[in-house]
Amino acid sequence: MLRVDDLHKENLYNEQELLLLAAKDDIQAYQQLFDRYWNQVYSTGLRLTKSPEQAKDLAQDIFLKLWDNRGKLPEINDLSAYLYTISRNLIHDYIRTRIFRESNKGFLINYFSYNETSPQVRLEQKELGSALNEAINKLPPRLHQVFILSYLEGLRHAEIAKRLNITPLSSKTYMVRALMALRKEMANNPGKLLFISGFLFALFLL
Amino acid sequence: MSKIVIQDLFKKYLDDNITPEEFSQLYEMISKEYDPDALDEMLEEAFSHPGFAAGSGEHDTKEVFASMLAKINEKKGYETLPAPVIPLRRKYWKVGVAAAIIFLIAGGIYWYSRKQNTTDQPVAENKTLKFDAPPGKNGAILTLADGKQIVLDSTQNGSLEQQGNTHLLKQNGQLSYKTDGGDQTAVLYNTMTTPRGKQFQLLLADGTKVWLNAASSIRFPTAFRGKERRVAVSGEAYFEVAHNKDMPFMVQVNNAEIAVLGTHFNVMDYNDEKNISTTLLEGSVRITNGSQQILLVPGEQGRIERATGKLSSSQVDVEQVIAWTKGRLCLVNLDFPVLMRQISRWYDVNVIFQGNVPNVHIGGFIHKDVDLATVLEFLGENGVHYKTEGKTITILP
Repeated sequence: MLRVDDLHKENLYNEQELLLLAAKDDIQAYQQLFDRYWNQVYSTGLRLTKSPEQAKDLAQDIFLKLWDNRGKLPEINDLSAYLYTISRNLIHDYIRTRIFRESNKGFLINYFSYNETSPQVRLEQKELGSALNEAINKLPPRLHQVFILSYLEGLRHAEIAKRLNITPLSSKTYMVRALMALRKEMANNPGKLLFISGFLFALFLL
Repeated sequence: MSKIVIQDLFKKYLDDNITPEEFSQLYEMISKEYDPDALDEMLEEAFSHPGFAAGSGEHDTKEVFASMLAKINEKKGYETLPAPVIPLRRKYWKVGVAAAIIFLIAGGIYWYSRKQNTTDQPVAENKTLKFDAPPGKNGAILTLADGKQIVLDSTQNGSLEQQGNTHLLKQNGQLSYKTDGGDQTAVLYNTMTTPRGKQFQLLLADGTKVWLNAASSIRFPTAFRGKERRVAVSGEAYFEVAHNKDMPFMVQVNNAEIAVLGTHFNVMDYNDEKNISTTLLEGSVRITNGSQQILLVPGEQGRIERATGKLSSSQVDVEQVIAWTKGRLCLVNLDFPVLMRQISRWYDVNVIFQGNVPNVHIGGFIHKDVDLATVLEFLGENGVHYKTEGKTITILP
């Protein structure tokens, strides 16, 4: 029986052998190919979608497609190029229907409006006011994590990325989403907005 | 002409070099008339040279592959392949499976549940579940400094003992310590112990919050004095330490020591598990074991291997580690024996393996209100054979 944990054996085969094995339904070999190409496919997905979740979905769909086409693998010389060939339609689909769509437009505009180098007044958390603090604490874990590191500890996304072992792009998307969530939360509580600080100002500049 | 414009804009988009206005323009162009050929060359180029590597903290690739495997298996309808990792997305769930297990996607956004499809299994309705155990409730035993023991039960609320200058207040599943101030000659220690199947929360005299999991205990002073705040833990506990830079917070686990330089972390030290581990969510901690020392940053877990005493660290999904504090049993990426030990503590049952450990790999989150019978049913559906007798579950090969 296959256990996913058992399958991760380091570089025992060269790529040609893996392609041959995968064509013969060898899942272990396929997982090695997956491990070798995940980064490349996922990173491209990130650049394309500006979303770690969408990028993961896209990458997974691409690898599923590759598995479906495993019969052709033994003939392939350049897996990179082949990956693109079979994903081409998938990618165009994603662009048209998932990335460039109305419900995603707001996020993307915010994403491209966000500027991490704009001057910020860095406040201690205790100075932020209880309503804002509450809102911050309501953020989902990833967003909260990145937000604290960026706004309260003043780290740049390159540094946050290193610390959390993610890409600066992902760190930026989490930050943008955090700011959007905070703005929405604060907008729901207008009565509690007691002051506009440099921080809040930046929030509303998004 | 417009082909060049869209290519130019799209390249800027990919490079994160586009202004919001230009993006709006690109958006209009793509929505109005999408010409895949115009973008092909650029996409192909991007594909071969993504320009950066994704970190291991982005996604757990093992999980991604496992869920992909599950989809592959489903499509083929294989029955003989092993239990797949439960896909974490609704559209891939099979219809007609009877289970009431709730899954949580990282980020805490979606709740899914699978409902019993009674038309598929008419017999199931009449099936009497012979073996059941209610899930973990709030309950613990508090041992005071003088040895007196109090059973904490969710039914009694209000003030309990006063020890020296410290008042104990109990409210549902939480016990709070409040000091009056003023000096005491002796520091009094209390111990809170939870049996299997029970959890509890503690609010220490300095404002530190502690969540104590099942089959665990913590020894702590009723009031903190002196140069440091020191507690000792066995089992599993999650801490949110109150800030006090003049009095560092130290947790003693077995022979190791965890110095807290920050706030939120989880400690796991069950005797029947291979490792003692500390997982940091916020702030920083320093773990000392003999001559070894490690400093953790958020998202990292430090581990001491029980057998060798070796200290190491790695990145983990902290949400999985502290799921228990939110009333969820996390069974993701666990070896089957470890998974069954979790179930044993959570439901207060004994688990015995008869013969070889089944080669099962399943995963998910189970809400605390789900009964054991449902969990066992679910295991059964995923290829686990077992029998039950009294409080003992025997896993058959």
